[in-house]
Amino acid sequence: MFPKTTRILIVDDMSTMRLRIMNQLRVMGFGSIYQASNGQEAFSILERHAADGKPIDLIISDWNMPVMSGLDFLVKVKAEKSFSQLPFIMATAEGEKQQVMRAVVSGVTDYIIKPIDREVLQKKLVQLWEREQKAASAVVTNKAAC
Amino acid sequence: MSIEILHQNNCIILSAQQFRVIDIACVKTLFDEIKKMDPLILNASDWVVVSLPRAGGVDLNAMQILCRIAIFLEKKGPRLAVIVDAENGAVIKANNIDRMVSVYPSLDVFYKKNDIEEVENIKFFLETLNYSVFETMKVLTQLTIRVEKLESVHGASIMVPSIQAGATAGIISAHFSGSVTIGFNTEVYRKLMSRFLEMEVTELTDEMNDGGSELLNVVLGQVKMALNEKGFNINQVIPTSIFGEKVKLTPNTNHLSTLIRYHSEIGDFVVLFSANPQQKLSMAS
Repeated sequence: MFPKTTRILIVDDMSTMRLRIMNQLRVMGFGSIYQASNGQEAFSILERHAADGKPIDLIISDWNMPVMSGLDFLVKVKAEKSFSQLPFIMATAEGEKQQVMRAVVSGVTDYIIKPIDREVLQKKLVQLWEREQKAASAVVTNKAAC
Repeated sequence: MSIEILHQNNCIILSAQQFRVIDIACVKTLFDEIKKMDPLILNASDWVVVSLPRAGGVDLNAMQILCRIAIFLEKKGPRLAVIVDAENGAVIKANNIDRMVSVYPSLDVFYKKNDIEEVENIKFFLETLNYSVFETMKVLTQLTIRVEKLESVHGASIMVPSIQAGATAGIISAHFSGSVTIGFNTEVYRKLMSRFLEMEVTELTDEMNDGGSELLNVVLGQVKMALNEKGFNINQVIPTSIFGEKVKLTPNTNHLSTLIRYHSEIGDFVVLFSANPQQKLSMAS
């Protein structure tokens, strides 16, 4: 599982949803949780934290938001070199196949369709962490081989 | 002489292709068949349609019996429609019988003019919406809910209890346009937020105002996912939160409105669905 010091950014225009996910993450032991109500605000937070030397480690974002949608935010994050490797989970009520495909094509790391309960979120984070660890050890092995 | 009876789209269709003319014998035979029908089935049907598209002339006595059928059915619930050729249709209208009996040249025209298919689509949407409410409440709030009462009205007003918190969202689809509203009283909403946020909520704060919107957003997301695969092409506006001392919901009386009252262990709440089959998304694909 992600370490408890992981800095997580929750992006959702609904404050109750942000509060719900925050409470669920706190129960899982995470303490560094940040929030934004749209993609534009979220991107500013990413930049600020990077500049402060305390970069965000994981993003959980909704799709339908005013100002900048979750998909546009995802595209912007992936286009920015310093953020492009950030794990990005889309947690949204948009569950149609075309929407999921759009997110996958845009580089989303994982996709959760609402309603989300704590068990599902925890499972997703564990799976994501394991994938990240495997990918990281593959890079180390390749470097060593070279 | 055999009469074919079909139950389709909440209509009872009596097909009597063998009648050469629409005379007393013909109409009396049809009336006898209608009188034999289960009153519960008649009551549950919107229309009784007598299909005589190939029959020749219609006489005055037969038309009078058609009126008697219409009066008989009025007490049971359904309206009466006849499918006849243009000539017979003109005779029926010339004698003002169409004031009691609706006349159409074909079943397709009947369905189209009465939005029958669209009403069925609305009912299918409603079933999916109901299922989605159950599932969403179960996952997000661990509530076990049951339908206490379901009331559908078309062309008349529906009594909706006033609410204090909730949300509303407009929807437009290939088959209808409308809105869905979810509503709670303050105390039920507070208890709901405790469950939704997984923490004890003793007092509602501004942060919790959009809880109803989020619930409705998830409910409609589930509905869209299920029905867009079936060609409903539903587009939905982001829900708007509702708050007030006593918010009165008054759906358009021209729309088909359905009020569902749910009961749960934390109290009752309502979902109001109002749809207009006349206004729909024009389909390009």
